[in-house]
Amino acid sequence: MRRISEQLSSLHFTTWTVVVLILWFSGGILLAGHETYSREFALMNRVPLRHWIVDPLQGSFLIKSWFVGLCLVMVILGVNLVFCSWTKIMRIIRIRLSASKLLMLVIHIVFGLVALGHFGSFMLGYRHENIRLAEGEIFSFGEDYELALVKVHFVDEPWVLDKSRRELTRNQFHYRSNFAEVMLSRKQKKVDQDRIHILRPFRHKNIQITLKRFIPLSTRAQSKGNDNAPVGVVLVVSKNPVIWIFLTLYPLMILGIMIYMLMTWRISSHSTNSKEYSEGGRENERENE
Amino acid sequence: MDNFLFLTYVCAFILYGLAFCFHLFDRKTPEVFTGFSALGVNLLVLVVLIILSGHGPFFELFESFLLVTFILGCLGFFYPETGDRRPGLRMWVWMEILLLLTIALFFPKRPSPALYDRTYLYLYLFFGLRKIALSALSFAAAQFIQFRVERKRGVRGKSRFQKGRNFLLLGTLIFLMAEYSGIIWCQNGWGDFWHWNGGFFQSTVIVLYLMLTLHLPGKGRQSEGIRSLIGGMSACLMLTLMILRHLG
Repeated sequence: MRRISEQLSSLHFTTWTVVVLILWFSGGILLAGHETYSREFALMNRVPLRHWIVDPLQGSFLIKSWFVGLCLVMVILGVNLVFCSWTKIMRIIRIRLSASKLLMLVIHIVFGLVALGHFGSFMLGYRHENIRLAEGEIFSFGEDYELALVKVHFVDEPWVLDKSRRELTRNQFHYRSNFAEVMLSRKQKKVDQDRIHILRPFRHKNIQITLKRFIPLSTRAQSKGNDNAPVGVVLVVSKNPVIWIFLTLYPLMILGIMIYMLMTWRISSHSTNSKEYSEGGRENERENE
Repeated sequence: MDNFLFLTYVCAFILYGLAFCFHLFDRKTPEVFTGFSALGVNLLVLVVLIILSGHGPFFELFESFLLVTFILGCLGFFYPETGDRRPGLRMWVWMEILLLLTIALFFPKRPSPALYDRTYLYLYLFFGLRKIALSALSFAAAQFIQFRVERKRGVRGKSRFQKGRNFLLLGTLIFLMAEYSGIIWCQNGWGDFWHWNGGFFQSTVIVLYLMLTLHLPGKGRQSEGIRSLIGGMSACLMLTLMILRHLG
């Protein structure tokens, strides 16, 4: 049992798991380069994965296998992380470890939580893509919410909307000046109302309303009597209950690595004689054990 | 203006090349002079690119490489070095710069278009920090190459190895910062911080590779050799994926 535990917590095990992960994602890059599979990956972006994975009509066997394989390798990495952290905690209890090693342990635990948050965001919440609305139109979604487009304020020439995002220059399209006003209501009661700009979404609790782009208003909307507004919008409604945990833990992990780097950088830059060289070396070697 | 950009780029190329040659033939004063001039011309190209585009020089490959060569050149030039024996650390820095400038030769030598969102803070940070990370990783690679050279000469190289590891960790840190900026940019622009596509997979491969370099087990001479080799390759991997992404 002890031997299994030692192997599960070893750096060799971590290394090989990470190598497999790299190969797995490299396979993903190759698949994404293929037109058919690229469309399937695009589908994964539009629907919650808990629906996608169980629906036999959505997604091919290959992409689903790739995803399941990815989850399995991540689980193995997670097991390695748990065993490794446990061994470190035991060492801290028995022999007092240095501050840098203690910090490294914290960074690893935070990394584990970040990975969990990442996985949670695939599985939890919902996402409604490409909601096309004209002024006065309403979109209903989960938990009896309704989203109404109150007003579109577009200061640029409408012809610029025929151009793709990668062609629009800052003289043609002023993304900070153009906005839409949306109202969120629940069970016919107004909950919130605000402006949304491109790259500046509107948030209510865990729900985010994102303005993806402006579009020329279709004849369908004009026939409904919206002649005054030549421009409509494409919105994304998404709910991710773990987003704030993820967005808080990630910079904490970066901060931890930064402090660790500064702590260990000092050790090395002060290592000027051969004795200190070997101390610094041993320090690293112990970290690698 | 495109001609001016091309001429200054060629000028920087020649000056870096001369600095490399002077280093090779152990001519210190001319190396310092040409290296310093090369950095000056490199800076001039960057300033012109910024003025013409109205944003930072890190969106297209040509301007990105010039930014990386400038940061790398500054690191090679001003980072304190001991020892007089050739080849020194600077030789690998000049070589890396020449390699980057050679690759830049195949891409349009003009400023990137002033697209509407290229002044957005998180987009700026995402692209800018990535180029700084590439510079730090390239410098780490130079340190690792020097470590291997010195080891063959029989010089104790713990300090050199440690310097390489420091810059590798710095590059990783900056790359993670870039990723975090990208996460916020994506969340604000598309309502989600992750997309299943080639670009995100490539970023993940880089993060995982950096993770791998910092987790390689073992101790002793052989292990250090492997770690320096794999650590040094991180800049190469990032560069390759960057070019592939741009071409794709």
